[in-house]
Amino acid sequence: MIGLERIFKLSRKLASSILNGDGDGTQELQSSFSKKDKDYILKDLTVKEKVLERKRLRKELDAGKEGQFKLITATNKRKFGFGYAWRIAAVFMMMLGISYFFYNQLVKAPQEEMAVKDNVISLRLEDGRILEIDPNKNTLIKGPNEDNVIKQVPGTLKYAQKNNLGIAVYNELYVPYGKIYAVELSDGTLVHLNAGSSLRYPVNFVRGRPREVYLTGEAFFSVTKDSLQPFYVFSDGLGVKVLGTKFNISSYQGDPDISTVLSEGSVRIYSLAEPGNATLLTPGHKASWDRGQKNISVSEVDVRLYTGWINGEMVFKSMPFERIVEKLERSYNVEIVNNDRKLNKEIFTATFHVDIESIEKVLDYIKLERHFNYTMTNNKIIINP
Amino acid sequence: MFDTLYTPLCLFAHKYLENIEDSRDVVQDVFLKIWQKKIVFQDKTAIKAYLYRAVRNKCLDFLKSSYSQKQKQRLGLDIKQLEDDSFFAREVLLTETSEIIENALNTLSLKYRKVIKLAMDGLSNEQIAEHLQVSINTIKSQKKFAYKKLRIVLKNDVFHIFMLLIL
Repeated sequence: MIGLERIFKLSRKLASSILNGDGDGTQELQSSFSKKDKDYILKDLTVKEKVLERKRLRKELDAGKEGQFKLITATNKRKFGFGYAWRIAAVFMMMLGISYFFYNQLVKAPQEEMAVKDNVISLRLEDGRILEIDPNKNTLIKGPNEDNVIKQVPGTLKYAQKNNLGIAVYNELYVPYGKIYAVELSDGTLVHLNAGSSLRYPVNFVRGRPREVYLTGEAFFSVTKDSLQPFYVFSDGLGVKVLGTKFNISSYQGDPDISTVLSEGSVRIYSLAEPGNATLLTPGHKASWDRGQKNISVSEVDVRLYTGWINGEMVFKSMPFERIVEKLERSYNVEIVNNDRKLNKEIFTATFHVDIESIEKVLDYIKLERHFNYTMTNNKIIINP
Repeated sequence: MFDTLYTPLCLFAHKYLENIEDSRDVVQDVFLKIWQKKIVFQDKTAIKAYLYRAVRNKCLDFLKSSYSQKQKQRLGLDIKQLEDDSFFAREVLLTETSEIIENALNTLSLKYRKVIKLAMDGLSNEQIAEHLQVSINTIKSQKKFAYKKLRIVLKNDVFHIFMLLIL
């Protein structure tokens, strides 16, 4: 490593030479840096754009300084007196880490990636194991780390609330077509997952790091407020930054857009390609992110249309039949083949309940509005004019 | 210590991470550690040297962690280059120098600061005089006074003076 003392001395000389407008300090640079670095340094310190950029950053940092200071000193007070315990914990963690490493290396190395079945709710643990979940039972799930007990109560998977200072390990929950399910994360955030969706999330959120989860499909989030640890949802090139709020994200692979509908609070939506350019969403509005155009448009909506699915409700408002078909396929786990081309563009408004109406009932109701024939064998439905 | 070093360290971390939130997190972590462990230093140079190294190491760890792998790919950062000692030396020098300049300028009153800044931009006395709509002799005397003051400031350790100003 380089002697920083010399660098500090050099900085003083360079600063005074720049302030005085003479060339003394730059001469000295030559002895310690290559020509390329020297040019870079001088450019960085004197070119106007660079100076302004630094000024802007400095301002931003200074603004947040006091809050950070309070945060650090506050954490310190809380931790006061635990120094010894921390040291033991660190040693213990290290041993655990080493043994886990060897355990993984020696015992589990030749493990193959297991596939997720497409008709059951599945949970992929941090060690790659896949568990099947029966949503109607009460069970306890033990992860590879004995401390992490996951509780399954009817309809919801619950992670114990715990502070974690280590690294984030991820679990992934898969909900197949025809089912909905919910998960309560370790910070108390509740996520309802719609049919055909998956969510990847840390078993414990690490303190001082943003809370980050990854979604495919559709989910409704009720995020627990924590202004020090913003909550992020990432989905296929889109990022949503949340402080504490309720909102729905629909991001199915086949859909042309990812839509975010806000029912409470506020969220910021941005493209991962341009994190600096965020759109602020307010309650009662929907932001659509076009996968092709890569832009975001905002419109006013009836939130109920987008959140009814949590209770098994399917709300279609002025929706073309082809979009309805996609939703029916997911909610009832059926395959629908439509040979009636004109029907695809017909617009319908209706509300159904997955638990009350069967798929046949739903089709029969739609048939009353606009006639068509259909046949159903196993889980395949064929529609003819 | 926190007050004088927080912002420059964040700016320094920003050179590695190119993200202001992450830079804040890293610097916060480093400060948290010395707070908690009550690390004692011999003098302020040692503190500064320690902090720069710690921030650098934390930044590199952070870039290597899986959390930032994805973002790193997008930015096309070359970690090999960032790990190099010459990068470290260069960025420490840059951060320190700009900090000294900034603080030194801040000790001047607005009137003098303007003159010095324009002179740093490479403007001649005539140009500055024209720009500020004052006589060239005024500029000359203002410059003289400002440089005199700056010399005193720079001769002493800027860090030291800054501490005195705060206290």
